[in-house]
Amino acid sequence: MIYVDLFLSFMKIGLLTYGGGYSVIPLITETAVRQKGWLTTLEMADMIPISEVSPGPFSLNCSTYVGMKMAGPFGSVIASLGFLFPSVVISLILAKLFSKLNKFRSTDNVFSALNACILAVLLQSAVQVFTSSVIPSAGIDWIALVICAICFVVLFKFKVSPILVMIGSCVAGIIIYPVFGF
Amino acid sequence: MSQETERPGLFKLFITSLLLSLFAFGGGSTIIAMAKRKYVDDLKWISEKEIMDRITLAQAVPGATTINTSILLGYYFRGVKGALVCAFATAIPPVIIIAAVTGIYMVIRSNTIVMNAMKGMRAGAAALVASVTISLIWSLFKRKNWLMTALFVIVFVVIQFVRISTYLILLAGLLVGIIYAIVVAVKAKKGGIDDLR
Repeated sequence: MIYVDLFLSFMKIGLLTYGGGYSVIPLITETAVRQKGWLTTLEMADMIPISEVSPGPFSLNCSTYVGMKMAGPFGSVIASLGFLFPSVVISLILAKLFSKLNKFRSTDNVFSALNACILAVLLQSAVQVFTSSVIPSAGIDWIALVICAICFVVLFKFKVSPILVMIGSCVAGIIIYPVFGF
Repeated sequence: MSQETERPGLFKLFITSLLLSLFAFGGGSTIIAMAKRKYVDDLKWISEKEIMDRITLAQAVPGATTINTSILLGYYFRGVKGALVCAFATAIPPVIIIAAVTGIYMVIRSNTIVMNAMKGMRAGAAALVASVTISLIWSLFKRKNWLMTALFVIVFVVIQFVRISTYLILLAGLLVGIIYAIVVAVKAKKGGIDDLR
């Protein structure tokens, strides 16, 4: 059943999303694109701006998006609940142990190796997201490449808010594609 | 002068978290900055140090940092009930908004203007993911922990050639982290440094 499948899949995703929302991208690729075939790579690429421009945590937004796409409003709630479940359980356990755990240096070291692995799969996803937006079909989409390059420089050099960049690239897409006859 | 009167009511807690979440465009850092101003400065429900400790711990919990922070704060304010109230209040606004946006998007996505807008935004998103990834890699290199840098490079090279489940990679990372932490702690103890801060 799709609801059970959504809940369990997103519970697994929620359990391994660490260190900032973007690590959810490789996990959703693994489950929703590769294993289940719930999303195409393009729908996956659309998930990122939609989740980024809306309020709320990026990773939760992605879960809601996939749930909504697969099984409507009820599906979106189920996927979100599945994603939240591990957080709630682990946070509650840690809240009880809080005063003890915070005193150990080792806690940081445990996460250093996990972070290194997350970065490796995140880099892989960054390459996939780039490829699916700039080379969507046979050839290179030059307009997308230029928009991407400009956004990258703006984000990297000037530390502009990601939301402004999303709005900017949205407006750029609407204006530039018709000019070149698409 | 019982402690009951100093603790925020569950309803007040629900409304405060809901409003914080609703107006926190930009996710993570924005909502945390807003929560600090609201809870510490305005409402005086929690001290600066207590809230900072919980924000730090929330990073170590899987899932969305914002949700984890709100669960830890809810627990601090009102125990398990407070934690659940805060978790749901923080999650409800984004779930409703995203469900609505996705629903509309699925209907209008074949429209030419929407298609062009999405093409532009996909390119912007690619830049966004790339810039976040690169700055994270940069800060890994700057930490000069060569063991972890090597682990990152090895995992990345291996997954170019062998198809391994992302879950397995992360679980392996967690296991390596635990072993690494034990080794470091044992070494430190031999050098006379206790693991306690």
